Amino acid sequence: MKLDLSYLKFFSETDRRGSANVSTFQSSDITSVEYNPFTGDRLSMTARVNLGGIRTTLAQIERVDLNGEIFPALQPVYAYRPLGRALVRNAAKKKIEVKLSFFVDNLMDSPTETKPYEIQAGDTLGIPICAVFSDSIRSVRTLSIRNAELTVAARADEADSDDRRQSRMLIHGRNDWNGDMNLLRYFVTPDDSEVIRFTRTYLNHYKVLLDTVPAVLSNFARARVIFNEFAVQLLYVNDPKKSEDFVQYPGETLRLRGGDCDDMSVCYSALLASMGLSTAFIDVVPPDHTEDAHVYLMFDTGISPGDASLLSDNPKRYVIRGNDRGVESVWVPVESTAITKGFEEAWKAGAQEYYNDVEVKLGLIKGWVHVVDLGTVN
Amino acid sequence: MNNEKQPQKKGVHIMNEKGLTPAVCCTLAFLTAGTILRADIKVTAVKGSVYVRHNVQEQWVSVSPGDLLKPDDSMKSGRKSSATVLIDDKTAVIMPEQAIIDMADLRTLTKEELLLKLAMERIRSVPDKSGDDELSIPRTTTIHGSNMDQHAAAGAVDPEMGTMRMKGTEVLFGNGFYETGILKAKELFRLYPDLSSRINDRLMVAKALEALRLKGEAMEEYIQLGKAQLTDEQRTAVTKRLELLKGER
Repeated sequence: MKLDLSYLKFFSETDRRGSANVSTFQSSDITSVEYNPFTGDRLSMTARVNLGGIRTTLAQIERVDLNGEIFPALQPVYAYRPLGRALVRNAAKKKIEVKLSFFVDNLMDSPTETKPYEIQAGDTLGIPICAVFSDSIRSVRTLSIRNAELTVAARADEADSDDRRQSRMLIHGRNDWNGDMNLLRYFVTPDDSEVIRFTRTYLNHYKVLLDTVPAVLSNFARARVIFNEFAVQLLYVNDPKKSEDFVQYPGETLRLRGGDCDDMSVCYSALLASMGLSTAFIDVVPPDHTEDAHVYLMFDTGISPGDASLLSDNPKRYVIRGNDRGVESVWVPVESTAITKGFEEAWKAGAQEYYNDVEVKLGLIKGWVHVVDLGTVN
Repeated sequence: MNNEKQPQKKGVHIMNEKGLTPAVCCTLAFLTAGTILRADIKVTAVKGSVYVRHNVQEQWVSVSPGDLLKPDDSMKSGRKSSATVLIDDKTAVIMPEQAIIDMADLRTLTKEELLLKLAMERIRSVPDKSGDDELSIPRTTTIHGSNMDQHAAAGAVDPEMGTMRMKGTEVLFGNGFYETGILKAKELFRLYPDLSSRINDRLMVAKALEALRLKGEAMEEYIQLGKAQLTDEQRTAVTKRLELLKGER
């Protein structure tokens, strides 16, 4: 039971005994019926009685297993791929339906809620946790620690949760990368305004030249033009530390006018993607010399295998492979670190590496060469 | 020319380009024993016009007896020309006229390596339907409609090159390099569709698969051959081989 007592006292000079002469009343400016110069002092008392019983906890979070490291570049991934799971126990004597919420203050606009999960009486269930981070996570510059809050609720009609837990998470800087080649693709941002500006500027600049190229070779010609401009303006910085944990976004590489092997591959890939060309990373980790791990790329010229000799008389200069439309076409490997030598040399170097690693040494089937597709147009 | 010895690579773990299941990869990788990549390829005799093309270069240059070739080199013989190469000072391979051979193919692969390569050939054109959690990179450019010029250069493939490369493949089969011969022939059938009508070459692939005791794959080849236009003699041969293989299963 809850009791409230209040007294309202007005200190104005108006007669508040409930009576006044007519002339005073008429000359006063009354704007509110409830509160005006003639409202009397008030004493009020409120009593509230809760007739409900004791609130029982239906679900309990027994354990939280979170992937302790969050990489901002993977922001879209975390919305679909669980970053951990919580073990939730049904503490009731009947089947319950629970929802789990995950929230990191400042990095999320609102808690990310799971779908409802049924748990039988006395059972425990591991519930995967996904997170929709806001764009503010991409502003995190350096490694930081944040608290993540998990709540579980078994009652759909109540705002109160049944149980809550806190867990600490390491939030990496926006340029940090975990070394997983499959995730490098998330640094490829073809929609970046600097990327679009770069490709549009030089496609326009070379429009007359490109218009003379047969349509079948147009993708190849555009890729060559962009690479050569890329080569003139950017500098490859050999990274002695082989740091595979820091990657520049394409806009940064263009602004800084340089980068290491990962940065160059990511940037050129984004430039090609912004023109609608499909690309793939070729990740090489030689088994005997893992310190020579390396990444370069290849792009889809859209040329059918039957027309491959239009590009080169030497089949070792290209790769015939399918894209995600199920169509085989000619792909051209490019060693983006050979940037200073221009497109022809970068193409030769990429083709040579691919032939040696994949065809001669069979690296692809032996598992030390990976090809990571970045998707296709349409 | 120097020739570097290629170290044998042991299959450790398998990460395929796309489509192979991890289970298949692991099983096959476990079975993988290693590739015998010929180390020394020496030209011992040349008659007429014989050329070599180094790695990814475009130009063909004349080859002479005594030259050492690398695994990433290719050799081409002109009309009424031939050459002999000696592999590891043991195996002599005679290259007939008008043939092209990639030196990397003068080697034997393990059965498992062959199966993995064949599996990759099969999945090469399979669309990559990633899981729902795989996001594709957004594109700023979307192309609609069909490219009216896409067939403008049809027929650009030089059929003579295809024929010469297929002749080189016959040399591989003739010298027992069945695995690389099968892979090369299949690649050429894809690249030069007209070559698929060369029934004898397709029969050669099927026989090579039989020789490697890959009965299922051989049967598949014979079944596909049965659907092609065959002479009576060829059809009889295909039917006979199929029945024999079925009996052995």
